[in-house]
Amino acid sequence: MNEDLQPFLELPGVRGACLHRGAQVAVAMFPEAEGVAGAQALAGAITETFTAYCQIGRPVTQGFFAFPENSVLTVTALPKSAPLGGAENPRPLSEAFLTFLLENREAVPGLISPARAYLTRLARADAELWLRFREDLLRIIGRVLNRAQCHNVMAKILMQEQVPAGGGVGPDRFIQVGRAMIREIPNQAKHEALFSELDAAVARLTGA
Amino acid sequence: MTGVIDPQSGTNFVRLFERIADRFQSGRLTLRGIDRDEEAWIVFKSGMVEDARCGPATGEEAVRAMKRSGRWTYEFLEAGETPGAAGAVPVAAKLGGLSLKAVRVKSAEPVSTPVSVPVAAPAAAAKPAGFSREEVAGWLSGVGAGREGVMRLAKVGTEWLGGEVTEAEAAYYAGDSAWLLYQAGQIGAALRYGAPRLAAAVEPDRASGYLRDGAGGLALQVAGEGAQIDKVINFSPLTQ
Repeated sequence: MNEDLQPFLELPGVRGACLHRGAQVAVAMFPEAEGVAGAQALAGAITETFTAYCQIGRPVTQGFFAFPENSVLTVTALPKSAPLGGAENPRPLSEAFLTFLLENREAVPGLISPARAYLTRLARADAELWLRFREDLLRIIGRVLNRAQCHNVMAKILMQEQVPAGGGVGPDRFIQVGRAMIREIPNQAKHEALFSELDAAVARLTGA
Repeated sequence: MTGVIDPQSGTNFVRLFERIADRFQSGRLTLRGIDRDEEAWIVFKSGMVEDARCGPATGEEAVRAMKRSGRWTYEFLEAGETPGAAGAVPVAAKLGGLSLKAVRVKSAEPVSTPVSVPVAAPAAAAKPAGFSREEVAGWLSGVGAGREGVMRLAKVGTEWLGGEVTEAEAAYYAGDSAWLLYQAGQIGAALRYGAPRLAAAVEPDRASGYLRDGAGGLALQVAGEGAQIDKVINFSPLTQ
C-alpha cells in the first residue's frame, strides 16, 4: 500500500498522502509534524465534512482547504446521487478517499488526474474482491439455509447495511456484512462455527 | 430567531448555520435539549463560529457534541439584540429554513469583460484588513478569469464587484461560504492548523471556491458541471 502512495509524494509540493475509507486510515505517509495521529484526526474530519454534504443531497467529490501552515486536498469517487439514507437513516461515508497535504495550491492540477485514476483502479479491485466474497458468503450461509433463503437474507442485509448493488464496499466491511448475515440464521448454535469460517474466508481474500 | 433542530425531520445544523450566516452574521445561538436537561451555546462572528460550549466540551468539540445529541430548541440573538420573553420556542413550532437548493447558481458563465471595477473607491467601502478594490480588480481580470465556464465575483465592504448579484444570490453565497469555511475549520483543527481563509468543493453540477478576507469581504468563483477543483482555487493576488 505504501508503494501505492509513493508516486504521489514524488510530485512537487506534496508533503503527505493518506488513503482512508471513511474515517478509517488504510495507509498514511505524513510528515512528522502531523504524524499518524494527525492523519487519523484528519480522516475523521474529512469524512464528517463529506458526509454532512452528502446528507443534504450534495455529494462532494473534491475538496481543497488552505491554511496558514499547509493546504489539504481530498479526492473521492462518490456517485452523483447521494448514497446515504438521509436524515432517517444516516451513516458516515465509508468510501475510499485520497487526502493530501500540500505546500501550496500549485500542486493541485498535477494531482487530480492521477488521484482519480488510482481511485478508479481501487474501486475496480474492490468490486472484484466483493464478488469473490459474495460467493464465499453464500457458500458459508448455504450450509444452513437453502438457496432461496440465502438470497433473501443477502438482499435484506445488503439493504440494511447500505451496500450498493455490485459491491462498492471495501474489504474492511466484509466481516461486518458477513456477520450480520450469519446472525439472520435462526439456529444460533451454528453461529460461532460460521463466524470462524467467515473470518478465515476474509483473511484468505484480503491476505490478512 | 427561534426554532427546533430535529435531525429526524431534516432540520439540522447545516441549515441553521446557513440561515444565521445569511441573515445575521454575528450573535449568540442558545440551544436547549428537548426531553433532557442540557444546554449549549455558539457565538458567531462574521458568519463564522467563534466560540461554543456543550457540557464540558468547548470549541469545535462542543459543536460536534451538539450534532451528536438529539433534538434541540434554539434561540438566536443577533449581536445587540435582547432575549425574547418566551425564550426558545416550543417543540411544535413551525419551522422555516433555507434549502441549499432553493437558490442555485443559474449557470456558471464566464465574466468575459471583467467588470467595470471602479478603482477610485468611496472611503467607507473597504474595511481595514479587507480586500482592496485594486487587489480585487487585479484578481477579477487576472490569470484564470477568462477561462471558459468560470464566474468570479467579490464583495468589498457591502458592494459586489464582477457582476450583478441579486439579494437571494448574495444570501446564498454568504450561507454556502460560511458552511464550507466552518467545515474547513474542523479539518484544520484536526491538524492543529490555524484558521482557513480559502475553501473549495466540487459537486456533480459545479465547483465552487470561497476566500474570506477577515473583514466581511468575500471572493468566490464558480465553474459548471465537470469542472475540477483546480479551476476555482486561484485567488492570487488576494491570497498574497
